[in-house]
Amino acid sequence: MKQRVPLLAFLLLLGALFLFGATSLAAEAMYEEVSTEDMLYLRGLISKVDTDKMQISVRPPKGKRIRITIDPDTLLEGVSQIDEFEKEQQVKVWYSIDNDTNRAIKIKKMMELGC
Amino acid sequence: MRYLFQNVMMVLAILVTCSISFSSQTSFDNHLSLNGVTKAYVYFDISLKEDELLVFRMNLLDRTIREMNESGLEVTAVIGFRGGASRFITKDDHYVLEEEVENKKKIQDWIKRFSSQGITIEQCAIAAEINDIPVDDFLSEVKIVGNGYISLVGYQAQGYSVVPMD
Repeated sequence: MKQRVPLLAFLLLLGALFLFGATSLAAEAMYEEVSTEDMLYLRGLISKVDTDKMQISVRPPKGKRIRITIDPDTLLEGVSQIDEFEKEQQVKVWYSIDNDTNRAIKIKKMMELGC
Repeated sequence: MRYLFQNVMMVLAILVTCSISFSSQTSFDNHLSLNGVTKAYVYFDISLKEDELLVFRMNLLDRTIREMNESGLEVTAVIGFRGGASRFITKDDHYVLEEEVENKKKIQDWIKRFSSQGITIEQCAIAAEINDIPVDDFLSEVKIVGNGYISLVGYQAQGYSVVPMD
């Protein structure tokens, strides 16, 4: 009986780790860098930040700027709030169109590397 | 009449002073540093991302090479791009903001001009990948290298002087 307790604990830990890994992978897979039926993907440079309207404009590498609206449900990565966004920063945006508004689901600020 | 004469003399004095000052400025040279030097190998390391500053640096780079040539040096130059500077040497008006397009065109013109002068233009492939720029999107004058840092090391090992422009 005494030997079974550590074994059980080990198996439980293994299971928890597996679940954690699977959840992380699923979350990553949810934000693929392609547009899908449910979610559009955009990568580009921030050309304007409007904190009053909670909007940023993003210019993709080849095309016109797109205005993105941020709401309280938007997941932000690399920043904690909208006023930390700056012009010329590179961002990845996942959004959906809702009543002619591009509503951000997730925005990830890219790291600036000198390389 | 006396006042008029005094004023004319004062203006003349100012003009002479300015002219002496100007002539002494234009007579600056680098004869001490270039003493005995006949050849120059230079690597210009460009990583800055501000369009206006980049245009200014292109002018300065041109002036530096021209003045070395005028001093009698045989110049071999490489211009290495990495970091945020990478997006300005791509084709068309891509990868920049609308307000940066005008300066991007100037930078593109400089790249063509430098290339026609026999200057090598290099772009780091890692920077291209990080900035999500396919290598085919760079100007045809640009040579893609695997790793810009290795270029820096390699050219220095070959005796090139590195001029940072960041």
